[in-house]
Amino acid sequence: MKKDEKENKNQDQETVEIPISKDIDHNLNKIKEILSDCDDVIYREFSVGKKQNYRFAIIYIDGLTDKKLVSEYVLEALMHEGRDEVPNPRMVGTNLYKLSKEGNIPITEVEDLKCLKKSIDAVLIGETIVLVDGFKEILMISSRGWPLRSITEPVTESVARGPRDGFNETSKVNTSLIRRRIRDPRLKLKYKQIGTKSKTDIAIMYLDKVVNNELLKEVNKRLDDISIDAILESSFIEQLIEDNWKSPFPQLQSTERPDRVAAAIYEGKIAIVVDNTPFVLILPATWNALLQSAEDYYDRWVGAFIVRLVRYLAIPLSLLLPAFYIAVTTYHPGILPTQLVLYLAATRINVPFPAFIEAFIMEITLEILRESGTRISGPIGTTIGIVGGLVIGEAAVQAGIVSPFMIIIVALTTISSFALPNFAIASGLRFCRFIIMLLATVLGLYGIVLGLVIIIAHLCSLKSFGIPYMEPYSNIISSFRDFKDSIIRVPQKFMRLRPEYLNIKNRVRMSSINEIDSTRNESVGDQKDDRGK
Amino acid sequence: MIGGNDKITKGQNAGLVIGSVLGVGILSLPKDLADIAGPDGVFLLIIATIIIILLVIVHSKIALKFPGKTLVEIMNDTLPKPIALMFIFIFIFFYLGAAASVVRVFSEGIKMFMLSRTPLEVIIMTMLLTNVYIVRQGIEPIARIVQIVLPLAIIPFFLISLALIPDLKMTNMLPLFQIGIKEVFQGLKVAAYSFIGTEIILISTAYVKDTKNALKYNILSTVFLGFIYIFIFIIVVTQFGIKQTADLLWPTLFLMKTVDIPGAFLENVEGIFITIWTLIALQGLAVILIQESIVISKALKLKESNFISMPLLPVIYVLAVFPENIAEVYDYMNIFSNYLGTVVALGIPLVLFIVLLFKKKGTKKA
Repeated sequence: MKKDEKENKNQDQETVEIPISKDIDHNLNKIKEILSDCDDVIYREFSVGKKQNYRFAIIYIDGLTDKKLVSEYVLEALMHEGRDEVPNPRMVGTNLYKLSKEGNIPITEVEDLKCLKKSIDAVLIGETIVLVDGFKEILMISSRGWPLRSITEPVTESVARGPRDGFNETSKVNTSLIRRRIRDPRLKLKYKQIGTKSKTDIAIMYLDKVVNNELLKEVNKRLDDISIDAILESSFIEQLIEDNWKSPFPQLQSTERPDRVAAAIYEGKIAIVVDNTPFVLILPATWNALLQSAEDYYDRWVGAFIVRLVRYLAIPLSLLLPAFYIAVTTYHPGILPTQLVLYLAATRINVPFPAFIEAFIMEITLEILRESGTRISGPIGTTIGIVGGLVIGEAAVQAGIVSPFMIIIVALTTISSFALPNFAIASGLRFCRFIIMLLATVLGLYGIVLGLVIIIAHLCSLKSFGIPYMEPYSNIISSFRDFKDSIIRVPQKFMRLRPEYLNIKNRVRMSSINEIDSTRNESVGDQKDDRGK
Repeated sequence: MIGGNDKITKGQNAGLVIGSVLGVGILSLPKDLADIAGPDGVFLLIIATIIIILLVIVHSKIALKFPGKTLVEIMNDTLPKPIALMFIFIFIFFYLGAAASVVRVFSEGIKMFMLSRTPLEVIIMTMLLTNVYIVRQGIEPIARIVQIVLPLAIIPFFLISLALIPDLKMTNMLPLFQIGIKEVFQGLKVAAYSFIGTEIILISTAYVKDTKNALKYNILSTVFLGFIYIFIFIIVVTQFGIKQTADLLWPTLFLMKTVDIPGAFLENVEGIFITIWTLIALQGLAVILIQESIVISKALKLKESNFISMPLLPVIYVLAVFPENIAEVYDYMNIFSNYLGTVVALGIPLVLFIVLLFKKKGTKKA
């Protein structure tokens, strides 16, 4: 183990502190040596000046760089325009570098680099570096430009009403989408690079004067503690900074929607934008926040109110329904109405398995079906759906392996789990569902309650960055106000304050209801007066 | 960590009081009260509630005087060492007994109504193991758990009770004002015993974030408890009549057998009620065990308290299995609440209170 670590460190430190030489060939050779066997790196050497006596070189990576920009504003400017004018030779001599930087390259973002390692890093990001013979500085030109996926509607969180833009894989685009929604100097954005090899850009965004500083400090600390070679997706970060890695439930929220991130930042939360993924992390996340969807706020309150209730109904259904079926058919048929019990018994008369085996067969079949369906989309996916859903379901009932009632239960369970807006919570509940099914097999209804209490206990012990996960449900009296946006959703007028549980500084987000009403009444009164005149 | 969320809020503290009292107290009510006082039990419950409010004030005053300190530290600070030690032992025994009786009685209920062929030992063991997991989380998570579990239990109970209203015979509550002085005192004792559990204030207040108005919240929780008990008493007595109530083992449980919701999916709501029953049992047990863990760990000056319920598990199990049948359990419980309960809930707090009153004068002079 230790040997490996040492080797890794040596590898990482290889490129540290290589001074830039005045000799351009020396520099080029060094870079070529470090970037050996990297055939996508382009080296372009050229000469500038009327007499072609100043040697330049640019280096960039093919595919990461906006070639048009480089050729038009760097090469064109230096090679052609530099030839047109006759510069004062005295001025040029020692100022060549400064002249080209300040007078000849018409590009918005340029930077001096004093170290070869940084220059190589810049190339790897997608920038272009310009080497000038006889100078100890390297000029970095911001020329990042690679094929982007256009801003499309997010697949996982589509809405009927609301903005249709979603994040893509470039963090700069993503942060700009957020910035567009928060035009306030208090929106802060801090960059970090995580991953010793991947050097992934990570942006921390928050609203200053609203966010809890302790929270911010804690987030920074946890991010700095990460030591990993590569961050490929924001879930790497999520899993490395969450409070309890053993839990089946997510403790950070991830979303593809910029409007959700903006709303969270306005609430006083912190967003972490990771490069190369459209999923942005929001923290702290609570159970309540994870079960909110963006549309809840765009819909009128009555609709949102009902949707919320339905969603909270879907939780027990997706968690307990198969277990309940097992418990009732095996232990307590008495609690069902007589007619239903008779019907149930009649449908199960041909089924050769006890209820729990029946339930497990169907649940596992469905999991396999779901897994094969999610990997393959398009026509084959549809075929899988038809084969799985219709053929297996129908055939299993016809063959008498499972009862039709079981099919209904399984279908309802699956639909319910898809009704939850957060996929991670749904899969956490799916895991718990199987455990509760086992408990129901052994101990009936009592087992279900035991399982339920254990899950509640676990959820209550969870914290997301110091915020209890089950707020406000686990603190009914003291944070009663937070119920305005929980299992119910009150009209917009009453959501005057930011949530209490985040312990933020500035809680007012809307002028009071009375003020709104009174101004409106006044304006109505004015109109009447006008009419009177 | 962030903004002191690690602490219990006042509301959660009040919830703990309710959970603690319901877990133990609901077992005997309203059978014993109906047996002794008849319909007049309602008045006794009201009087008992008032007495308990006074007691809760005493509890809260003691606890609030020592911010951040639990019962053990308070006693070590105010009482001579041997007496403090003795009191701590009494508390430890009390919690052991309370845990054992809660486990046993609730398990009997579960066995009788749900799992008639499952051995009682299995039910007791699973209940205890579940609780060990819960208690390992610590007192703050338990305060949160109680906040979720209690509404899950209480709200369905009230909703189901609504279905009973057409069947109730209010004449069963008559005639009132029939009891003598002796029965009044006996009945008061029974009514007051159903409030055992308020002494959790002496422990939980140490973990409360902001103790301002904590007393008000505690009193409100007692009023709420009184309301629940009176509600249950009236419903049970009007449904069954005095005689039958006194004869039934668990009138509240049997009550649910009689509920018939017209056209409902569930023919009898027993299943739901036994779920409520289990929920209350589990949270009540968790509250007792965490108090026990805290008292023991503070007495032994341990840093971590959450694991202590594990070694206690066999002890509680043996105590719970010890009585041969449910009648015997209730015999033990009567003795238990008569002596230990009185000492724990009334005796020791009063001693502390009086000592504190005198000490206060002493310090003022000095």
